[in-house]
Amino acid sequence: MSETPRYRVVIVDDHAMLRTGVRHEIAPAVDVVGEGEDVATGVAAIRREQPDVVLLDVHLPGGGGVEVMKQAGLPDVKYLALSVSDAAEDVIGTIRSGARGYVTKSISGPDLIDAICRVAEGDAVFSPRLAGFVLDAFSGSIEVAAVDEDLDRLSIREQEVMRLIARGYSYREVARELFISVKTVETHVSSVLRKLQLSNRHQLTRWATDRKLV
Amino acid sequence: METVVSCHAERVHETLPVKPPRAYRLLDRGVFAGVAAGLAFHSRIPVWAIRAAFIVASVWKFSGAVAYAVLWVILPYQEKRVPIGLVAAERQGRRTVVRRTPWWRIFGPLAVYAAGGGIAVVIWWYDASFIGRYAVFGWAVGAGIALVWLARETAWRRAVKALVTAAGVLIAWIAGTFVQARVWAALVPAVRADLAVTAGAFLVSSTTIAGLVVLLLPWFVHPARSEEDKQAELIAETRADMAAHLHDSVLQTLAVIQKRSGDAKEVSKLARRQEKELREWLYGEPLDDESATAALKEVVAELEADYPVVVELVTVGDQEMTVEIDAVVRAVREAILNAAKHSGVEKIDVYAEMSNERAEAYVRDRGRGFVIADIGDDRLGIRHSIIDRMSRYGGHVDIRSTPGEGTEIHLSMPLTEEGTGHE
Repeated sequence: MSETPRYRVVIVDDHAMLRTGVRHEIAPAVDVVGEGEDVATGVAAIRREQPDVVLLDVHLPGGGGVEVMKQAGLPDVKYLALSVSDAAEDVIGTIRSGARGYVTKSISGPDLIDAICRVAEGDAVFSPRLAGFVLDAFSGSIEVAAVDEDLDRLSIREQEVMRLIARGYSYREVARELFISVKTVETHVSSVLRKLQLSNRHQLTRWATDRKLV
Repeated sequence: METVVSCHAERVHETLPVKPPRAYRLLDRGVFAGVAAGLAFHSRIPVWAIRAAFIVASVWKFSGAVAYAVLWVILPYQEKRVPIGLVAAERQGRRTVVRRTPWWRIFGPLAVYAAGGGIAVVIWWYDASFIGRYAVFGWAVGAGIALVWLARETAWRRAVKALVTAAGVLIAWIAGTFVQARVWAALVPAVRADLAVTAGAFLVSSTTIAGLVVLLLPWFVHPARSEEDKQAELIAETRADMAAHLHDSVLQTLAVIQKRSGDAKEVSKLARRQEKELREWLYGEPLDDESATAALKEVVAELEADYPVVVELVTVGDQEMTVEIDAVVRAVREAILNAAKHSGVEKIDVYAEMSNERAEAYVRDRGRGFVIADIGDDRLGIRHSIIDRMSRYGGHVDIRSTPGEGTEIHLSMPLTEEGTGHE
């Protein structure tokens, strides 16, 4: 019987107390292999350890989480934004720069471990709050920094999924509610994430270049 | 062990950059303009010695008084520093400041004037020069100017300030004119008669200008409100507002937490509420007081304070308050209250979406649930406050509850004709 693999995690946050707390909470299930307190030390730790998942604060000395992802430049590392910042713009900005999910720092230990595992396995982690921000972003109520006309509309189904997540439904509950499989819910969430991230024109070009489309 | 010692050795050589000390006048400690008090503080010479030096030197042609005046103009004054929290409280009008003037601030200047007068008399008695002969008038001119300068710096009421300034100018003007007339009279025999009037006029106009310049010197040297001062004041105001907020929120919560440190549940509730509030203040969008989202947040904050529940509120879009939206907000409140009282769980999810056509809200818990048909008339909350209130404004309530799995209450309120269609 193969055990669930223990994922390797780096925590980047400028509050030492919070790093310690998070490390303590997730230690039973994952290996915390490194820590960073600002952009420079965070990037160094990520480059050195090549972890599976990085828990990334949205606001950091040196340019914030966005800058960490840009400077680390490792496409295989997955990022999960962990923040107390409820500024929708910054949260959406972090997602658009590559984070695969967003949870608030008040999240419980087991939930955080669950979120880390999901992100490590390639899924997106949408908290109700993030789902709300996403709906707002696509309806144009939030000013998103990049060109808005690039935002692909969400499909009706994706909107339904986002609404249910915002209402506090788990993926499984969403699946039951919409009579679809959990896998399909995950596909919808990932596609929302992709639409968010690709609607940045620069990334769209890169995505297309990578696939030799242009 | 050795490493520790060497660490200490290095520490000793570390020196902090020292700012060159600057002399200030200390208004609140001084008797007159705070020059002597300031110099004493700066040089660590006893203040009485400095005061005595000024007085003694004045006997020789007022030189001590002139030196005092020069220092008065040159040295900036430093006001008493007040802790930022007090500034904040004062700005909010939550503090009454009794500014009691100490006795020496009233009798001090009077004593200095009297001493000056005495010295003038002494000079007049023993000094045969021109200064000696007009010492008393010179003293009066100086006293007038000093009055104007004092009025500028002292925290008197506006009317008192104007009155003292006017008195000072008047005294300096009359005494000055008298001195000018004496000098003019002395000049007449000395120069040719036809030139005497011109010379006299020249004398009067130039001394008048010089007198005015001296009178206004403090305004030139230390302009009352420079750009820098304004900037500093603005920063100070911002800091004070921040301090006020911290005082109202974090400090109060910390105090309560200390009192209830035995009650883990209560402490965590307080910390959570405070965290939420501070986060909202730091990162939240400034909300229109009249918006639906603001009203919902208020409702949630209020209920979280009264019941041991965590409400995860997610809102999409926003609308201005109308009677219809107010009904939705009140119904949401009842629904949360219901969940808090009966569901038996701590976590409640609330999702609200406001568009131009429709206001929708979902209140959900994963608690014990109930059979809808069993809602008795005694459960007034749901019947009356939720269903009746919503339908009164054309809204619709949809309750889904499964025993053991939880309850979700869906509220929907059309805001325009198009919004009436249900999914």
